[in-house]
Amino acid sequence: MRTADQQAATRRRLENTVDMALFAVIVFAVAGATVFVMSVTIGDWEFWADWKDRRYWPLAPVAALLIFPAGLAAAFWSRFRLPVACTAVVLLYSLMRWLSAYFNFHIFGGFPLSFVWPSIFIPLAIIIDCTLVITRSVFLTGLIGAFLWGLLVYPVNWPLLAAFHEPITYNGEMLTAADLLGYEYIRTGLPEYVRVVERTVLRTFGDAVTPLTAVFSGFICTLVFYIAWGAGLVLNRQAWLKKL
Amino acid sequence: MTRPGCRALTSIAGLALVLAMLIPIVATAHGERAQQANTRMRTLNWYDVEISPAKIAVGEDIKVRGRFRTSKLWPEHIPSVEQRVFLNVGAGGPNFIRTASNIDGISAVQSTSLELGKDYSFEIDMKARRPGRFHVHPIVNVLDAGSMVGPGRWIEITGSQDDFVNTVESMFGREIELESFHLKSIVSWHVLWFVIGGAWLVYWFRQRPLLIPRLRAVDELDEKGEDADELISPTDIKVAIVFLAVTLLIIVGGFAWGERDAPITIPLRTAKTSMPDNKPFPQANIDVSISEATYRIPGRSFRMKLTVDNRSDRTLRVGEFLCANVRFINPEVRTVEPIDEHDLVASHGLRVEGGPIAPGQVSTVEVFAEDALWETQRLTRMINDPDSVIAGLLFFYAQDGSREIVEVGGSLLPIFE
Repeated sequence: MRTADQQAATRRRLENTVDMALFAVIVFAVAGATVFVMSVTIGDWEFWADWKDRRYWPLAPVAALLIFPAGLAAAFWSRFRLPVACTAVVLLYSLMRWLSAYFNFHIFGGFPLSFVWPSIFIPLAIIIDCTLVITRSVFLTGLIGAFLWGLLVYPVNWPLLAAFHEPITYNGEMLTAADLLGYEYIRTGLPEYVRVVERTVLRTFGDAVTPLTAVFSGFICTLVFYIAWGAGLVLNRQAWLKKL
Repeated sequence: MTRPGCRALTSIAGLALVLAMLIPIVATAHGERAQQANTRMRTLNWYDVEISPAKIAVGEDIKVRGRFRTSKLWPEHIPSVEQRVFLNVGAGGPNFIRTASNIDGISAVQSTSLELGKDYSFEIDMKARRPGRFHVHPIVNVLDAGSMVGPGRWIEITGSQDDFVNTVESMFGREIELESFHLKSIVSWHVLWFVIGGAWLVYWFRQRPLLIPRLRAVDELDEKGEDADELISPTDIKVAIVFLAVTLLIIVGGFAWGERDAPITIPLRTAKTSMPDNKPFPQANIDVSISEATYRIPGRSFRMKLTVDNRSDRTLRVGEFLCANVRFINPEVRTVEPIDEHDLVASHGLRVEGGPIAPGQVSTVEVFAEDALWETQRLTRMINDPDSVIAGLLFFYAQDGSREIVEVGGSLLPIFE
């Protein structure tokens, strides 16, 4: 006959195993899937310094990256009241991106690391998780945390990016250091015009591209957060497991 | 399958995967034969292409130069050079850096647009970066169409990549080593955020076991109709406030640091380079039209029946037919040998019946282009294309070495037996 202490120890061991198993699932499934989805959808903004512009880079990759963290946050919050999913996914995604930048692009592809560095997203994830804890409200987390996720991506990365946008005179033309990297380091299948970056348009707000994009990005990220959260709740239902 | 068998199979698969990752296989070609034959013939015709020197050390210069003619017969369903093009180079990756490039002497740092039926010169200056042997091609990328690949040469780079430096200076005097520019800052900022993000996770994962007890607690509170948010303690909230405040402070500080580091910045450059308007069409003192073109499949023999009107004051002879980067040479007129094993030259590939064309004479000439390159370069696949139209450049030579270049094209009739 097992004693209560033995039963408690067994249960504790089992629960620890579940923790580890779930952790492994997060690492390999969610972070791996995030890297894959990001790479095949909006990867170029993350691969190249000369794609990190003022209009699309603070918008498209940022909104796309939020899908998995927000969906998983819904599951972790509703099931465990754990505000860690955003940070965990983004931290692991960043780790994978560094591995990819180093091994795929630098070692195998031969590009300088300064041309293929990943963007910083971790603080944005921390903001969402912290907002969730402080407010304990999904609505306010979407309104404030997800909005800040989109709003702050540019300032978060500015200490890395600013120097790449310093002007250089090159063969009589003015380029940024990022443009020069893109020109000099040959990408056969990626001509200059393929970049989806800001181009001159007849806009009303003159050169206020960065703040306008930031606010719009925040708005889009708020919407993405609510949608992804809702999808996370639906996919998190035990009914799915029973059907499997 | 038995368990040991399954284990052995898994081990072999794992080993193969590891080996596949560890042993890099360098791609040395650029898919130039993959495109449909008739689109290769009817888009860009590259000629006089020189890529030299063939052997250089890391840090030394190499030049790619030559000419291309944009085809008058460009398929109308393929977006053409009139939209947007970029002068590029295929070199198996960043094994070289491109230091300058121009089309007709106009800088090609940005993309531009060209006109059909016109002749353009180009130059690309490069510097060797990584040791190895690479097949280098000039390329024109065409928006929404793809890459038009020019003839290639094998280039050998000796030395060590460690010796390569690539320094430029910004307008404000900052020395920029592009190989490692700003890398310390990039890594430092990432490490900082990894540490803070890791600290947040450690705070929550410090209790073990974590998930099952919390799952049970949430379920119990829900069943009782109580608020599961009670699981978040006041300490958790205080810690979150501290993390949020620290995060926002660092973001603000980092932004200010970035502003101080580079006070004047500009957006990425995307202007399109303008080429001069109304560039004249290439002039030739000769008119050529195809009255018949056939390809006899068993003999790999292409035959064109041409009507040639020589309006020049010199006697001209057909010396070369250039088609999809393959050069068929008439040995009676010119001696051209392949520069390396992948130089697409058929030194004895062109035979002409009809003789020299005297000044002012209109004559009928039959040109036979016969070589295995029709097969190896997959040009014979043209008979499977939806439109079997052939095109290429004909080079007529005078005794004094001067030449006339004309584009010819028309429907091709295959002969199957």
